[in-house]
Amino acid sequence: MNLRKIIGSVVGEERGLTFGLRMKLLLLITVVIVLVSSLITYFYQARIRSSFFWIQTRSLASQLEFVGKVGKGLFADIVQGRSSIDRFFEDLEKHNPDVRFFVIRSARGETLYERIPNPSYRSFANSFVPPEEPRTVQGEVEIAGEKIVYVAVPVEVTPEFTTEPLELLLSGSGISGLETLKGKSSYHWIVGGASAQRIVEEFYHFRFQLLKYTIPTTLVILVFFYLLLGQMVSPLMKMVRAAREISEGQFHERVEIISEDEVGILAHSFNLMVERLASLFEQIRASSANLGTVVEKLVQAAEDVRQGASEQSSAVTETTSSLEEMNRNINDLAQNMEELKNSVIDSRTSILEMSTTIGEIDEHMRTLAANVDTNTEGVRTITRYFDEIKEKISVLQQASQETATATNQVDKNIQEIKNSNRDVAQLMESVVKLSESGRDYVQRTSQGIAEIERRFSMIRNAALSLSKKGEEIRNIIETVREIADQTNLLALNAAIIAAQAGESGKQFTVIAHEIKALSDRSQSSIKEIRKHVDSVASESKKLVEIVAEGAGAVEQGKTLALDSETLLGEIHRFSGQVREEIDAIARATQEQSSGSHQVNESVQNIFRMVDEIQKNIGAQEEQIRGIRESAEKMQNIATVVRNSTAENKKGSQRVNLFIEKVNLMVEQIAQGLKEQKSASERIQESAQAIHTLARKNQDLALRFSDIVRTLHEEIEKFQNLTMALQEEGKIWQ
Amino acid sequence: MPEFALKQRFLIFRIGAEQFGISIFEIREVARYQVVKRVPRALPFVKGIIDLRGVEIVPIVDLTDRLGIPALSQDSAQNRFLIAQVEGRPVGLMVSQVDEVVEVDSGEIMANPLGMDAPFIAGVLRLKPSSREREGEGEERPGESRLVFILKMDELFTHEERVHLQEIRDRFLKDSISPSASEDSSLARHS
Repeated sequence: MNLRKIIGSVVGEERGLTFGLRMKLLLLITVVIVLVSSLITYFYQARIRSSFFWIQTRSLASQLEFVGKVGKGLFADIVQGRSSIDRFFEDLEKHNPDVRFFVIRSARGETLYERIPNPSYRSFANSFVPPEEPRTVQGEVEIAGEKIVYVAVPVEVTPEFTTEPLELLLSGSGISGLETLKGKSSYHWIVGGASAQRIVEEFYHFRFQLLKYTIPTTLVILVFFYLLLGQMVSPLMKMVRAAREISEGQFHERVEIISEDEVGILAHSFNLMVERLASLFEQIRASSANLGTVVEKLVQAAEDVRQGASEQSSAVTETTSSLEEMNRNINDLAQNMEELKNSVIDSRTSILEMSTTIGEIDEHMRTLAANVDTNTEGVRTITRYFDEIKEKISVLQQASQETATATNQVDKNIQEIKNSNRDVAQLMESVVKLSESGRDYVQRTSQGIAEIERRFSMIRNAALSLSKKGEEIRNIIETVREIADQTNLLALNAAIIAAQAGESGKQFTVIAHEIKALSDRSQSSIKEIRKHVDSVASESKKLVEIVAEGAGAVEQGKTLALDSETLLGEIHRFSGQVREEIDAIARATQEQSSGSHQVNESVQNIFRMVDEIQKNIGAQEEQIRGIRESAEKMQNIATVVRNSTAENKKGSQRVNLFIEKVNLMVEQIAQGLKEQKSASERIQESAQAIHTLARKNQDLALRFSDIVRTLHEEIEKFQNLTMALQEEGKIWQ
Repeated sequence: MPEFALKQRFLIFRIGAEQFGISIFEIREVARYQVVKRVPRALPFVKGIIDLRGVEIVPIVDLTDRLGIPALSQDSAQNRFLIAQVEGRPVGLMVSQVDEVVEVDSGEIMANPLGMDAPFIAGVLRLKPSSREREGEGEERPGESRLVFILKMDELFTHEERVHLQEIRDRFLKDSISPSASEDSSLARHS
């Protein structure tokens, strides 16, 4: 491992000993070996040449030894005739064309036989001096510019075997000294010489021949090696490149499948995996984008719901306060009505009193008239009567004054009634307005509720689509899991094949390990993702439940809003009625007031008349005529008074009638107010309920937005996981 | 030079909770789980056969008896088949999980402590936990080394058993598949 790193750092490859580098190194080493072997061959030629010399010498020596062994039996032949020994050496020469000469020399240095085609060798051949002991002698010498290797082989010559024939042989040739051989062992030497020139030339030739053939062969092998290794390595390189591209998120990269071997299978599986990964990532990306938009919609919807709820809440609060105000006003109204009723009762009492007084006046007037009729009988009685009249008049005056006071009181009361009526009318106006605005509020509320309902259904749809998406994601995850499983298997098989390939599969083992690690990691990632998707599904289910709950609450709110709308409509209608009746009361009161004024005026007139009468009476008897006249006048006046009184009575009756009516109306109004009060209380209850619902809605919206936030976080986590999955692709680098 | 020390490679797998190793030269491949077809009248150690990629009939053997470990409870889709070679012929082992290929020095392998009582054990390997060891398994605590028996495929079966396996392969290879198929179809026609 360390060695690889070192080699890698030496050649500037920080990844250590890569496949390509290894291949290049192998080629480099082959070239170096061939070059070195060629150089060795070239520089060690002297040594090699001497080896070749040695070979030549050895072959010559073995030949001569053979001759020596056979020669023992051949010496007879040598004696008998040279032809047989000549044939023998001819054979040798035929087998070894480099042989230059053969000489047989005796131990004493005599040449017994010679066969020297080229005379230039003769002097060397005949100058051979045998050594002391019998052993093979060999050496090399240069004669006439030619390298000659020579060998001298001793041949034992036994005396009993040799003497006689040798003497015979030598007697004719003039060679003497045979006596030394007699009786003891002696040696002859066969000396042979052969040229080494041809073999050396052949060696030179061979050397060039070697260079001529080895270099091209090496080159061919190199090229073959390169192609073979390239074919083996280049798919792996391509795969590595493709894996790098994929890790950068580009899934269009594919590895070209050239072979059907293990690498081809791996490339095919790799391509398959890349395709599936690409489609998978596309799906995941699309789903997560969908999820994103869904979540955005959810967030928006939640925000809208919250806003709608708070709006509704404020509207309801306003309605409640308006209703409270209305209630207060109605209470005021009821109080005023009570006062009005009391006033009416008072005025009725006063009118009744006045009526009685007027009746009395009438009676007195009648009496007066009768008295005036009888006045003519005696002024004294008249005077007496006048006293009486005076007395009566003072009573009348008093009564009149009382009447005036009562009338004034009535007047005041009537004014008050008028005022009250105006107040009531105003109040009724405000009631109508309030009920209208209340209805408006209720309508807005019910619109808000409808909006909320729509939002809820949107949320429900979003949540349902979310859970459907979760189902889709689960399917995708199942596919991913299967792919990871298959990849795991593939990695294991690749690891087995790589391990079987031994050292050369080592790099491949690393890739297989990485693929396995990747598949392991994606399996654990898948587990994680599945967990998150399950939690998303359960959250969305919860969401759907909460939305259903909210929908129920909204339904309730809608019914209540409808109820309150009906109630407000009733109030509105009823307020209109009340207003009409109050108008009628006002009109009647007006009439009564004018009647009272007339009465008062009449009483004032009476008073004045009586005063005048009193004055006239004070002007004594002589004016009796005047009195009579006055009496007549008075009679007339009494008639007027009677008429007035009658009228007054009629007016009082009408007043009474009106008062009865007013009383009835007041009671009706009181009843209406009571109803209205209870209606407004119901409205208030409804408003309270709406308020609670709005609060609940708000709570729901908050919870919902919490859930949506959680969902958002989950989706972010999910996106992070897919990112992580993508990141893990970078292991390929 | 440690790089040139003698290394051996083993495939580490599990049958149930037990871990074993086999030399990778005795393994041909790892296959996905498929349903094992039971073979009538087969010896008890033969679980059945599988049709490997529609090309090859591979007998699946049950080692739990001779290894003395509890049998795999049921046929789970998580299981895998180790396709091993016995005398050059495929034999499938059903295993519950294939862990990894490990490379160890020859010196780290202890001799078979059982000797001739269990000749099919080539040795015992002390395996250091790798970094990729799954955390969730919980059987071994991280940092603890485990002892793994290395199986010798050739010694797992007697001569008779090998002949029996070969018989099963031969029967399904030659002509017993197609006649049975035609028999089925003729039955279908009858009904």
